[in-house]
Amino acid sequence: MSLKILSLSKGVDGYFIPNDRFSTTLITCNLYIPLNAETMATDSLLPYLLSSCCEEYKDYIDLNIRLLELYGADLSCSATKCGDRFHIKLGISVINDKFAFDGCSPVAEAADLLCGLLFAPSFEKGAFRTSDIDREKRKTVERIEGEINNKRSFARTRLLAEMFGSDPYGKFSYGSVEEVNKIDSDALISAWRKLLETAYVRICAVSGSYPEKAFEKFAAMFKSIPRHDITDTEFFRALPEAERVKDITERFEVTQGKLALGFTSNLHGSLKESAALSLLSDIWGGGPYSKLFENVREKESLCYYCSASSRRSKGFVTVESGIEEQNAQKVVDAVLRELDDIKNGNFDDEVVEASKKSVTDALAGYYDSATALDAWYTRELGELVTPEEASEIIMKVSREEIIEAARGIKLHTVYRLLPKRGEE
Amino acid sequence: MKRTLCTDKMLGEYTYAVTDNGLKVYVMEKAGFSSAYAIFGTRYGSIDTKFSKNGGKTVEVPAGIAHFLEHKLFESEEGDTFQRFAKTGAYCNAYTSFDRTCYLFSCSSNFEENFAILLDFVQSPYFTAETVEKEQGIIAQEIKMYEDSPGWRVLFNMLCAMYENHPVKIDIAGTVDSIAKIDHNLLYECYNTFYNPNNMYICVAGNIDTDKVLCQIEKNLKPTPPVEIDRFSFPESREVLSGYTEQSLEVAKPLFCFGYKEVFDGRDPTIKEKTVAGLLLEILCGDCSELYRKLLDDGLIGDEFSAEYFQGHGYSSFIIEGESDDPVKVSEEIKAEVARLIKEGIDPRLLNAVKRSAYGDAVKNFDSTEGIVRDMVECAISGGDLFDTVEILREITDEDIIERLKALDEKASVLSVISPKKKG
Repeated sequence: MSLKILSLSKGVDGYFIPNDRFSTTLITCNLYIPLNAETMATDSLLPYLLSSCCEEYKDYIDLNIRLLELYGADLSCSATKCGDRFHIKLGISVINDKFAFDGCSPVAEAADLLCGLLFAPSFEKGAFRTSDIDREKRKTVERIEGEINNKRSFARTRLLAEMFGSDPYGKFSYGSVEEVNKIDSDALISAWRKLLETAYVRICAVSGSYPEKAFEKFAAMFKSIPRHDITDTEFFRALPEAERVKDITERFEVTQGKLALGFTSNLHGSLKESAALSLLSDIWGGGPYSKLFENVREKESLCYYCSASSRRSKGFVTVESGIEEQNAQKVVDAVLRELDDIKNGNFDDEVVEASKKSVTDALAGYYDSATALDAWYTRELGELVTPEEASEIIMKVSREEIIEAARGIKLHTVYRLLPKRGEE
Repeated sequence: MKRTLCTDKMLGEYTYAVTDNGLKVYVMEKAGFSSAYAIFGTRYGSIDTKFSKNGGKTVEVPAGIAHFLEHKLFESEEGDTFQRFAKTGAYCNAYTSFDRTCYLFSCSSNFEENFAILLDFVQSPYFTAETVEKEQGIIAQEIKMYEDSPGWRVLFNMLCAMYENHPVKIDIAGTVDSIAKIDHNLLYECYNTFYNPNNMYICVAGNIDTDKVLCQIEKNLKPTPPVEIDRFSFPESREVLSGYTEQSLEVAKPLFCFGYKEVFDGRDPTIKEKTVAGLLLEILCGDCSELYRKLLDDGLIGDEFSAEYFQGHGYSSFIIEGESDDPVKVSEEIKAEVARLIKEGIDPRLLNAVKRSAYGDAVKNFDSTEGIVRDMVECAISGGDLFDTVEILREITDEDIIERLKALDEKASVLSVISPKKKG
């Protein structure tokens, strides 16, 4: 059985990803709206609020007990950037009916619950309850303030902010503390309505059997609301090259420094182009066969990690490393030297083969994880292929295309997070 | 090789075998899966710092040597193991924890070839003065990375306050000073003691053929005389060294780790005792508990709140951790809730829901080859059967949980706090 896509309502697609190797069913509701700096904080808070309670389970403890009783169903939500779109996800994973020992249907009940969370929030006099909003606002503020606790991801967040400047892609998904504090019920209701009415929606089900009832339920719910101005999924805005490389250093109370480099590319989101870009970043700083691992970590012992990764949805590349301050420039030089090597074709065919094998082997493994399959079909918009087809595209990338991708890479921003000096 | 087929009518079957020289082998075929996951591991971790071999004299080795050895085993006389796996496309890695070191790979093709590499490199140590020295630089960077990790520090600070003698309190990677004392002779000494088939296990799950896996093991296992290891028992009293410990780091909000020390006289907890511990923590502070509601509604906790039964050879504790502006108040609420549960008993609906959820988790775990192999490793180290949990859950009563709650002693508790650095 292969992937089945059906139109459930205007701008609402149902994706049935058949897979009978699991004892669970995963259903996710994915809503995509334009990335908007002004509403990002509210858009981000919404899925957390919606998944904490609903009309049927007004109290979050009651909802949590309900999940335990559904044999420990996992309810999840997220708000992430997907290129120039904002991706809001609510999902539930539950054991298949045959494993239930009391004759109930956990799958149908979980789908109903998910629908209820999205379409029937816990309102009081037509508004979200203040206590629920305040609780979720406080948790969001803590998420924002807690970003500093993980220095590696903090450095990445700061790099993207500096690199993208006024482009909303550079903004932290949760917004700022000030923005979160200003959110009220009116803003949330307006964001919720806009989400349901204008988002492009993808309902995904990774399951052994066709989730007819779940799809019918979502279709009926979306048909019952006015759907208009559906978000365009093809939009792509790349970051232009920097006229001068941006160079930022910030100091914190840390033992080890972090280095994050951001590069623009001349790629625009097509699968063929992004296959070359992802192989380039893998050869440069992906697996243990990569140039950064072999030379910067193993030969020069400059760091414990030094890795590169690319984002198809926005066409850029980052390199991250944990460093000693005195080695900071050495690592930057080494990273650029290894890139130059690739640009000049100084890399073995063996490395290309190793990279292709590693990437395609990992792609085949997607079929063994419901979460990975769901992510595959929801984290990118635009051209759609199966993991198997993506493997075929990867295998066809030539050495020249990798060199070409490397030549299109330009350093845009250098961000250093370094230890405070004695007097600071 | 002695083979046993273990079956469960809902969850499937796997083979458990023991080779003539004592190596434990667990193999589970997963129909329809695309990939396989394998671990070749040893019951040797950071806590094994003092031991004797075959009744000889007791040896004490520097902290962090098990982890160091793990790094070094990837090198052989012929070159780097990563490069060998690069040719097959497999993902390979290794990890060292308190009581185990595991070498692993996952792949979607070439299983036999990958398995041959795993069997070979784990049995082929190659340590020289030069390669040891080079590794010291890389591991020193890894240690420094953890020094900046507040989540890591808050745990080890708690363990340092809780344990007087047990090496569980020492960082798994050791310290920059302790790893400087490691040389190639010491590495061989540890390898020849702990990397003996008698002390090791192989666990495999996925799209594999059990007979072929067992045959490959028999053919490739090097003949090694069995070694008897006498692990030094670090005596621990019921008391803790200090009830409170605090450190300042670059964090936004205080992090806390609150733990109750548990002492099992001369033995480790049984599988049932471990299962009871998991249910107890869910009832005490899971997201359906009264304590969770109180702490969240009072603004004392947010997203970051979790609990763990932390246990290995010679140590065990109940740990609750998170972020809070008032960690002392949180610890007082935890103690009060333990007292309340003992006095008022456990809500039968909650106990039932928690047991249903634990059953669901056990079923779900068989969807992941990695999850299955992780449980196999646990069985290899602690004994028991992969299908035990489901059966044991049925037996557990509220009395089992109350009895265990009664053993939580306030005087044997530690609160560890990471506080934000003061500005200015």
